[in-house]
Amino acid sequence: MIALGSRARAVLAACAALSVLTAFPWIGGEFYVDLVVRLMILAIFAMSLDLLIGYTGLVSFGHAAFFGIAGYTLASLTPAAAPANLVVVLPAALVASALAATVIGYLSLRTAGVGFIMITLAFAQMLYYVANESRAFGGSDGVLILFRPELTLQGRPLLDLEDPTVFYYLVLACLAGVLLLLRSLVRAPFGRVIRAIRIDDRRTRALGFATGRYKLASFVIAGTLAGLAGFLEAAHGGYVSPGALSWHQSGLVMAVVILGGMGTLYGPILGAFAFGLLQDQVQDWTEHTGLVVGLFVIAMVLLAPRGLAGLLSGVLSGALSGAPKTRERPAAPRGPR
Amino acid sequence: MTAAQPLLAAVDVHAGYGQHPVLHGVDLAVAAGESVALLGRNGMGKTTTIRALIGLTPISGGSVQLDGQPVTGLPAHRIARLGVGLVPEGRGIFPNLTVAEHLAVAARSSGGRGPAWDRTAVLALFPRLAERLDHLGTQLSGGEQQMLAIGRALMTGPRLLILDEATEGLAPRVRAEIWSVLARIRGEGVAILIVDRDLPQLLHLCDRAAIVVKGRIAFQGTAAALAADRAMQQRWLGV
Repeated sequence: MIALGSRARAVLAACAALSVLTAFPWIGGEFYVDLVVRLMILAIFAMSLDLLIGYTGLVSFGHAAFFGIAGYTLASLTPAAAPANLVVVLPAALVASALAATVIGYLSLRTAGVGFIMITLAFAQMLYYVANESRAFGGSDGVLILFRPELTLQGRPLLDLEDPTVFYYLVLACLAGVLLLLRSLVRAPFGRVIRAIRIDDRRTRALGFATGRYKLASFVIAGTLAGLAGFLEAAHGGYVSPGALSWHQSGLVMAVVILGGMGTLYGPILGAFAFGLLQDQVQDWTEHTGLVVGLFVIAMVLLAPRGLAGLLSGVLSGALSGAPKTRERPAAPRGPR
Repeated sequence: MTAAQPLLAAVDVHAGYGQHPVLHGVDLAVAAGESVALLGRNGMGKTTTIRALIGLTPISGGSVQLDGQPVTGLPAHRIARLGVGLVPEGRGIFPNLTVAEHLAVAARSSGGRGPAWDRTAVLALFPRLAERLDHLGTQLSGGEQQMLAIGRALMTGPRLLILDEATEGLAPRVRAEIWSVLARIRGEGVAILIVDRDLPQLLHLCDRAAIVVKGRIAFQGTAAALAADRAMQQRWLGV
């Protein structure tokens, strides 16, 4: 038997997962390809929230705001009888989400803790009611997006996003891209500062960092990436409704992050797939999917406080060989302040 | 007693928490390169004095100057960048950063104009940290955490190093090591403002001492004067 370090095993596991996802359109049926697209989009959304919750220590309960804004931007910019240009609508959606995150972040970051949770929720709900009541945004019926955006070069189509396989690979590329981007971000000097802020804001200020700016930057990056997820979701489903902005959506993505394991980035991906696949399976046995999924989440929180990522890293580092490796764990008891 | 223009000059500083005042007019000066012990019994306002000086607790009255420049009311990160390094009470190690990351994160912020400490210099000061570069904050012993907290503060390039209970809860051998390192740091020309319980070591290290009693400075003078005055030690420090 070949002995592998935990790092090598982690790399192997990541490669295996990537191979399965790459090959999936040939293996899986149409329904499951569609499901996996939705789960990958949820994973992108959850990773963006992990940057806030797991790395910056900002528990945002209004993350759906940026997800929904990008969807509504795509809907507004798509003509009634023709596809929109991807090169125009994707940046427009991201900019809209980033702007919203700048304004909401600037105002919300004046608070902390429970206040921050409540005010981010309040902003997202405000947007929800605007969309829900506004005729321009289709009210509670939402807006249909009849054509997926297209990518053309000199009149010739480069990517036909109406093709489910092409769309699948676009989403897979976004998932991999966002994972790599966030991974390098949290290891960069910027990442060290936000990780320090999560543990202790004051102490980080005493080291000479204007922590407010770092938190706002993190909030805007997370909001923009949530916008990417919302854009893909709206393009995929051909539909955006106030539900994309609702607190259910914010709560769902938070549950996915917690279930998967905060502060790991790959945990939220595991969480999204576990959540989605479980829901899909449970639907076959019972109508009460919420009950079963809810019990599963409660069991996970009680039995595996570090989420699926914690379980997996235990397995990969050889749980039998002993000492638990802890990374990104909550603070040990601190001295008096 | 003090130089013409002290590095740090606090005049009549008032501060508190919410409705609860703690400092009722603290006057304190630290000259460049000088070591000052901040003494006093528990609850007299030593930690609050430090927090007020570096901008972590808002000042409700009085003024603080750093090198002649007013810093009253400046946010903590601006004061830190002017060259004030803090070794906080309880060490304040980040459990989710490695030793190397602690030093790197502090080096990034260095706007400090004091003696330049780089990673090599800090690791030469604390060889044990060099063996633990990849360890997370939680995987260090108390002594190693304390060394890292001091190393982190030095990486910001401070002209003034403020230490709050830097030897608290450490084994005697580790304490002795910390004290000798502080003497070396002082030898490099860094001014030190230090709170600690070990009076003999403080009087040995420091040029001057200040005693805080109920939010005011009750005594400020040379360490030698305090060392000679047993009655004053008994009265305000209970030793």
